[in-house]
Amino acid sequence: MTQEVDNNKFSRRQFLVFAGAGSAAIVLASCGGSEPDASGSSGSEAASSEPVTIEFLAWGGDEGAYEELIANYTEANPNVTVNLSSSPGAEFYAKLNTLIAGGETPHLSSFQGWEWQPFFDKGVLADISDFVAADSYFDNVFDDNIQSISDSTLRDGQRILIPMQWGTMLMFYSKPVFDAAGVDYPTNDWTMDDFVATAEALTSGDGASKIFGTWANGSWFRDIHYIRSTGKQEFDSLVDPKQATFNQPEIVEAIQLVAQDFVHSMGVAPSAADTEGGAVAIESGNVGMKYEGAWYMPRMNTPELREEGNEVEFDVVLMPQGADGDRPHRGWSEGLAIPNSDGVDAAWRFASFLASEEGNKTYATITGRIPNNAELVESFWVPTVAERFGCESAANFIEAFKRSEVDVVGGVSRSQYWSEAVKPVGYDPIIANTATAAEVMPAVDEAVQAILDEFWAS
Amino acid sequence: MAALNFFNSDRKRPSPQKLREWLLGYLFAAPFIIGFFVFVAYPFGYLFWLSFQEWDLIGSAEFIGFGNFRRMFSDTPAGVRNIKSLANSAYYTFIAVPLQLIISFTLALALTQKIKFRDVYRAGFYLPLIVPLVAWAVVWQRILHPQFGILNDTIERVLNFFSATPVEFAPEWLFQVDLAKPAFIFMSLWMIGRQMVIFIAGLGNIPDSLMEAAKVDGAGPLRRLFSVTLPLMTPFIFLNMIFALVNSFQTFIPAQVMTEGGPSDSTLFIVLNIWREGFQFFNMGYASALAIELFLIVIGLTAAQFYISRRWVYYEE
Repeated sequence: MTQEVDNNKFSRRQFLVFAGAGSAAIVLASCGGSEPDASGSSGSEAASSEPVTIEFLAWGGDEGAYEELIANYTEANPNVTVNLSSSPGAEFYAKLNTLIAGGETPHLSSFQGWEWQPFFDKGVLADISDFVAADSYFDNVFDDNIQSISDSTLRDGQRILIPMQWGTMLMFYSKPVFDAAGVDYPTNDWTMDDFVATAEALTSGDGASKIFGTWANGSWFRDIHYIRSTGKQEFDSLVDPKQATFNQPEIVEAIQLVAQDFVHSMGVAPSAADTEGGAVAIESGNVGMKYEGAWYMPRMNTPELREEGNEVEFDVVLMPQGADGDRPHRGWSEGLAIPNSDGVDAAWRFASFLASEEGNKTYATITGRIPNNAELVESFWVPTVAERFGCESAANFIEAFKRSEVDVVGGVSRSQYWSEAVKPVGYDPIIANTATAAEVMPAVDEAVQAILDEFWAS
Repeated sequence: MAALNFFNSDRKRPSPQKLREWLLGYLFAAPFIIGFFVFVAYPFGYLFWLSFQEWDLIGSAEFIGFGNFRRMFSDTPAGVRNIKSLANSAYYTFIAVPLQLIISFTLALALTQKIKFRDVYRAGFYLPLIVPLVAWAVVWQRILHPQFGILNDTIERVLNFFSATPVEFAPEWLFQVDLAKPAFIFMSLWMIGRQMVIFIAGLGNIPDSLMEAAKVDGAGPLRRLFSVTLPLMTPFIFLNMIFALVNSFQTFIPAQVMTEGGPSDSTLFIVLNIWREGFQFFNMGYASALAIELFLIVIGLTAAQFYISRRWVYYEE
């Protein structure tokens, strides 16, 4: 049997080889090149009409907004297919890590401002500095005058995170609870002493009908405001720390008050057991004040809730003033990062559409979250949430964000400090009321230091 | 010598018919053999290899010798968590398993008597097994709620019925370090239907002639239970004990859903700790070493049970 074939004809094997190579070329071409698109237009896919598929892993809970945004984007760019998958917060990074380990790294992924740094250090994430420089819209988004934006989007001088929102938190208060107790609404000039007195004044009743003045966060990172308001911080530096400094008298006192005394000795905040199942909550009308972010607004008061008569009228106020005259608030950027792949260009074009004015407005409207630049926050978001959620003082979020600082960022993620050290060694016994803050904080320091030492040694 | 014989040309070669039979046999067994290598042998080999590596799922794995195994019993946070999880699982297993066996055996005895609606009771006790574990955990979370749970409410009503002064009964089952594990043990008793069914099957196999003979010899019900029923049921007790032991050491879903290992790691069982190390802290090599540790514990305990069983398990010839 001869192996020769007519030169003008393909053998079956040759056909398959060419078909395979052609398909691979199309797939590679569809993922785009590695040079940034310098067109300067956010989200334009006009440069190419080849089919493009973008795998997008989004933060659970944001699916509604992203589905609408994807529909808008793919309508304008019919050659693009975006496959959206999501995972709830607790499992999000487990899913992302597993995808990466399995060679299925998404082209675009949600990231919190304090979690992406270890991924970057391991070479997973792409530098988007050139893309950002080519698009003037992002001059407003990356306002490096606000420290928390720089700290949560930059690393080693490279821009990594594309902000979808400003992240900061304020004190939410339930107007009906204040009215029923005959207590004045808090104002921005209130102090920690005022806060404690207000929580006590609002607390009344007992058993299932008890009204609690405030809410115990139950976590170190949410208590960071109270910690930092003392003028102290838990690390020698908030970026790439080397030393744990939890065990300082001011920090111990702050944690003792808000994590244990509020619940167990003063009774002004519900315990974890009380809140389990959701029967006791600010949106249920039996808690007066709660430290939350803008994303909580849809749970308090929306047109739908008003229609059902289930809304809780609320407003927000700056966190109480402590010993620190600068009155820092927690703040971070939260958004998207692009893993290194052949699809960086296409992912950037899509991500820049999501973060653009049009995309960000849709995202903020549906999720309630704060947009990613000051202009949009002031001109669009503040009036929108006033109308939609009845939040009159949303401008306080701007003030809080301007004075914001990150929790802690670096090669060790915040969640690792929390899960491996601060929670089991410190907060679990404090919340369970089996040890005081003074008793556990030396061990917390030791455990956090062990993580830091291990990281820097490696 | 055997090897020499194998290559010995004088050795009778299998006939083509025999070869065809072997081939056919392997062909029929192929799904199992392939499945075994793909889903058991390869993952287990990979797990063993991984236990000597340091790997965070993102970068490349790095060989660290016995580093992960040394870490298990070190005074690092990871080592402390391992010891805690071992202690928690041991506490849970060594209390829950005997209780499960005693209660399921008692139930089986009761439900082999001639009582009305016997099949309904049997089905009722088996029913929890068909409920998905996550749903089961959520239901128990509600049952054990300190304020609104029916467990505390029922006990409080009973106490108040017998008390002249009002009694408040509101232990925070899943939120107190000393109550969380007992609560898990209590919950595990809801899932004894499978053991009960196995016991019922075993009880049905006891020959009536033996019972009649014992009666004729003057043995009362208790005497018959301890001298006839129990010895004949030992193979079933042994079987149930092995199953319960393995299952108890693998407790994961209730702890993950209901307490996330808390409070203060008091429900951090071995498998939950493995999952955390792997998928929360991304220490995949260390998590693999912990999985090997669990494997050795379960194999060791099972082997010990088999060894001891020679002394107390009675098999009819």
